[in-house]
Amino acid sequence: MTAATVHSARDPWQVRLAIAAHPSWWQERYGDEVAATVADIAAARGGLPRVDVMGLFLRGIALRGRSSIVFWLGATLIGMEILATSTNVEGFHADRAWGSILAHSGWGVMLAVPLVAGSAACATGSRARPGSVRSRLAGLARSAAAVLGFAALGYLTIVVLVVVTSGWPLASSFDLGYTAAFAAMTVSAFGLGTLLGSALPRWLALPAGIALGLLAMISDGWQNGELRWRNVTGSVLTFDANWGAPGTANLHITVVTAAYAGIFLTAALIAVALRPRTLRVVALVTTLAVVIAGSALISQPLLHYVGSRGSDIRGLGELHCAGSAPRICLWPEQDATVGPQMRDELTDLYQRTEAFGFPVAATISSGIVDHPESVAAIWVSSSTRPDSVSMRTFAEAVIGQGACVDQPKRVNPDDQSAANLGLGLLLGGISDSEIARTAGITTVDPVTGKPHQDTAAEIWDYYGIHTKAEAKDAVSRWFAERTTCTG
Amino acid sequence: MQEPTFLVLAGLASGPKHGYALIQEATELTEGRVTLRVGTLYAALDRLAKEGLVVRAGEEIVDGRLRRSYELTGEGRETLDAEVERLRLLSTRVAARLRHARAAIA
Repeated sequence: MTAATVHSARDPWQVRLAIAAHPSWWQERYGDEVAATVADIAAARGGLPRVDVMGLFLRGIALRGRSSIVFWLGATLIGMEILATSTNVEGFHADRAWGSILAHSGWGVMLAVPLVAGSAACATGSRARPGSVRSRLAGLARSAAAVLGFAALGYLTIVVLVVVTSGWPLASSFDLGYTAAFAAMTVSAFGLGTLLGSALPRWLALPAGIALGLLAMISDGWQNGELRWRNVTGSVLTFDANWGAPGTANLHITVVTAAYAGIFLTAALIAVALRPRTLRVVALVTTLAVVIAGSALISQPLLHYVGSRGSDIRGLGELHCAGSAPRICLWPEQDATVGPQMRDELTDLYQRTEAFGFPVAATISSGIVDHPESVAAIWVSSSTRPDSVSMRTFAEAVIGQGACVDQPKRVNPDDQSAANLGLGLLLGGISDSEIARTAGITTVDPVTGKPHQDTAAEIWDYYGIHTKAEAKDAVSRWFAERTTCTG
Repeated sequence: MQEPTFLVLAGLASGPKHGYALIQEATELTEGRVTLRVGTLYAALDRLAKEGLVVRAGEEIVDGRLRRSYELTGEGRETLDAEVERLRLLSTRVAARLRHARAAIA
């Protein structure tokens, strides 16, 4: 009599799951008698012993983990995700809106990419051994559950930490675009690692997976649309969760990321099913050729399309608007945290700008770009940082009104910069360091070869602004030469 | 020796038993203070089997389910004896100290 002959399908799923969490040797040795013991306890107590079953499940995970490199890589992955987020400038702080929280929590996902690829490569090594196609695919499903489960657990842990640190979201909108993009890039990394693991020996597949993941992590993606391996790796594995307004991912980028994930996962399934190894190497090479060619074909059109279209926006119905001239509209999370301070500052800046006789939109709105309703508004930061509205950002927003629709004259960047600085000076001044940082450039002295950073005085000289009268002239000239969007 | 391990060995002192019977035995020995969890029981049994202190004594199918019983090996019985002796000595010494302490207070 073997244990397998009395295996009972009538056991509750929780019991079967708890037993399945254990390594296969344990399942063969103890699985059926443990199920019988749990059934005895359930009969005696009149119900499933949930604590027992949960403990059994956790022991199974721990037992499996102790002998699995995937487990340790997964634990490292979660640790690195948390570490990466904690060392970020904002730490675990995010704006109190789901979109911002979910996007911010993905900061560590880039770090997860190399480890996911490495874990998948490692886990696949064992499926390169002889066995039926079905058993190899079942093994792939198990390693997918383990590797992707660790990645998801890390992400969810950070989401919880961000919510605990920042507070429960105050805005109701729920954008899963970033989360979908993070999931897709993680699946891409899993697919690539599996491909490598199926085609290469484990000693080579593991470092190759980690190396490609690192290459993707440090890559800028297709910022320049150049066909370089670094660009390709970055775009297919991380394409590109950062394109979008805060809290609202760009749908098209998310779709492209998901498409790459689909290609890699399909190729991984085929490679694991194929025998002998030569065919798996062919699958790896073919897939890489397809993604490189695909990247080359879609990168420029996509960059052009996304660049011309701008980011998707949040629902405007959520904005909290109050007042008139100026009417100030803020997101709920802003209104609840820094709303009073922002409204006071914006009203003061608005009134002083109007006092100079410059045209100012009567509506000051938060976080809206490229939307018909925002044309008649001054755009300000959607951040909840108290210092997010500075003299400079407000001045840029006001001057930006004069460059936002079809103009009779092409915008000269120097004129716009002069107007920005001029209005900043009129409204109370901008610090020298901020001027040098935002308007200055670094040049290399042709004689000495030493770099030179423009000073604030040199910048004022360049734009010909030394007095308030000159500043007013620069701003007036800017508005006189173009229609504004003040509507 | 940890308490669950001791209770598993103690449960097998009177003869071979299967998993659920060992859990009941532990509850009875401790007068309900300890309820062995299934995971704890089989982790202990696996460890004790690897150390050669218990072995499988037989298996039967009851109501369509596998019921496997375990028994102590000679080494397992000696280990249990040694542990019982250690605990007896320990409790004797502690009891003596308590008596002295009470006498001093009186």
